[in-house]
Amino acid sequence: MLAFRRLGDVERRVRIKIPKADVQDVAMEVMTSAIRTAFDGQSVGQFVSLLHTITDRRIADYHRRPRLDTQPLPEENQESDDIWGEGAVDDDFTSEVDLRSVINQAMDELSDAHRMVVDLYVFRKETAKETAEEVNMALGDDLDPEMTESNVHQIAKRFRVRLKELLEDARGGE
Amino acid sequence: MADVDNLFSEFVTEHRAGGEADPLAFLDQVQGAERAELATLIDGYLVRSPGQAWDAEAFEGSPSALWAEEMSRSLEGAAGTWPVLLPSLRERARIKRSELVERLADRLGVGGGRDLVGSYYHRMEQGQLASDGVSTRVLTALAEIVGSTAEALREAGRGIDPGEEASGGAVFARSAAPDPEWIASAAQEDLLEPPQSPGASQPENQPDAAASEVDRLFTGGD
Repeated sequence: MLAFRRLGDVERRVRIKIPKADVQDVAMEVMTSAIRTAFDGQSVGQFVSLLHTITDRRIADYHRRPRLDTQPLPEENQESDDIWGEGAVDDDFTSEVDLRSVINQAMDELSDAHRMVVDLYVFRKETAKETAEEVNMALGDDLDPEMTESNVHQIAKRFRVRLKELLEDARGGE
Repeated sequence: MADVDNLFSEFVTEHRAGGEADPLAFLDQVQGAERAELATLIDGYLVRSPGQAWDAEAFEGSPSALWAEEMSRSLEGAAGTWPVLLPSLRERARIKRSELVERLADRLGVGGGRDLVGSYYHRMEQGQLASDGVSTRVLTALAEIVGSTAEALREAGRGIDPGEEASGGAVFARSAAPDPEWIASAAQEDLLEPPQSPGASQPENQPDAAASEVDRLFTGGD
């Protein structure tokens, strides 16, 4: 049940980076691998983390492996929206970039407090107020001054700018 | 041009409401660097998401349900993920089971034991045949027919070991629901019905020599 509940999000993550025709194959590979690993009493959190790691690996595997039924590149057939999804032809480099590693790199440059802000406010979409309160509660003794809603907005804005820079770098490094 | 922040918020709202939340529907509204930025935000959100609530109704009859059934056979059976993999490979290659069995028997040089080959192959798909008993010759022939490798099939046939992850995605196969057109065509030939079990009622005209060779190939290992 735990695995199936996650299947939808695994498919969504795969869909971002894999041609439509192969999404389900790769998602099922992820789930099969995850189930094969999930019998050693790991916690739910560990299982979910493992699931996302396997997802990243299978997406990378997909882009490395030779395929018998090679699909045309979007540039080879501008009408191939059914295969690649609409808009994929236009300057899309998403499939070549390891999104999670870009996020991790940007997060690694942050302090604990700022990392928590990005995690809660940017990715978990909590409000600035909730985020500031949670950070103060978790790190209150180490924070001087306290985290404010205004701080949260500034930290999030800087993170987004950095994220764009790293994505541009990744694109330039293709 | 839609705004990345608005699209991301809309995606999260739809996802939290239990909607389809197809990332491509949102990504297709932006291009270039903005598309990559939105993809990064959505991916980061999904990694942290608690997942959507379980929807039993949507699950019923979905490709996921089919896969779950095959996965159950894998977990309970003696042939690793063959119950998931073999039907998928066969469907991807668009080969009906009768055709596959015929070609497999021919490649193994046991044309006279075709029915028995069919029985054994059916047990492989059902996870009822111990994978370590199936010879490399069979796996090589099978792999050539369905476009895989003997090594990949051997790996997939390993038991599902606790704590050990399947190695590096060596096997790629469609696990999606079979093409309805293919199902219809297969059903016409009664190919979705399981054949008889080996040894249960061997055809009267089954040559003994061929039968014992088939037994050896499918149960005697390398």
